[in-house]
Amino acid sequence: MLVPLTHMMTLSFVLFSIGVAGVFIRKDVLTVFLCVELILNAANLAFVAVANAFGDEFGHVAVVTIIAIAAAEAAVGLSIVIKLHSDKKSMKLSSLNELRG
Amino acid sequence: MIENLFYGFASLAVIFAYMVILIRNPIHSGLSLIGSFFCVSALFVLMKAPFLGVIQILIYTGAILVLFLYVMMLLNVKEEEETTWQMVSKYFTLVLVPVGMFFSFKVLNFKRLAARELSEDFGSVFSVGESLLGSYVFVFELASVVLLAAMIGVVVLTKRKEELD
Repeated sequence: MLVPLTHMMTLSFVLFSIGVAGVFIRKDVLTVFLCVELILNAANLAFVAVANAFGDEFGHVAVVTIIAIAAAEAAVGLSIVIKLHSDKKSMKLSSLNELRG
Repeated sequence: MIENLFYGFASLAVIFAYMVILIRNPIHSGLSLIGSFFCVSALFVLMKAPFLGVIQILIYTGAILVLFLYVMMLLNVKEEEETTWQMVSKYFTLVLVPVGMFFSFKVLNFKRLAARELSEDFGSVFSVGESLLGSYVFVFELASVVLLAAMIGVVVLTKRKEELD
């Protein structure tokens, strides 16, 4: 390990918190999706850093799985976004209030 | 020397990630997310995971994020107008995240862990493939089921109502 594990975990933490902040701040559906991708990527980084420090290959397997799940999530999410666009003509999260009584 | 590469790519990744939430145009934030992912894949390569670095560029940026950009251009998304609350909280994160970073430097301590020697082919395609199809084959199969479910879900979602009946 060239740099201490603490530094890599801190980087992963920073990317994760930027993603979470984006989910709360942005109002556009697609940008919120992008921030979710950022969160997943921070998790990937943590997995690889720990795999490198422990010499265990499970982290790499986990990253491959996370990428597969991110692909599935992007496909389903984007088709929902396209549906939403044709139904509502708006990309704002605040326009999704159909369930409100 | 190589340590400097680490810190350079790390800070570039953080700057690009900030731009994702600071920029108002969704297409521009998608492009800066691609930049961030490129830096993270460089970090993967530096951390002896070359296969994952390639996968990150090929699948994550090459397929998933390009799909995002494609949908953004298809739907002709506009710049969102910002409320004052959004402006304030946006720049508040610029202050808050370094504070959190400082505390995580203080709190996180992995010194007790003894550093392991990595084997010669650690992280290569061969050894990752061996563990994917060997001891973790269940996870691999599960991912295929998830992808199949997503595929069926997308087909059902994009059908029109009258076609479903």
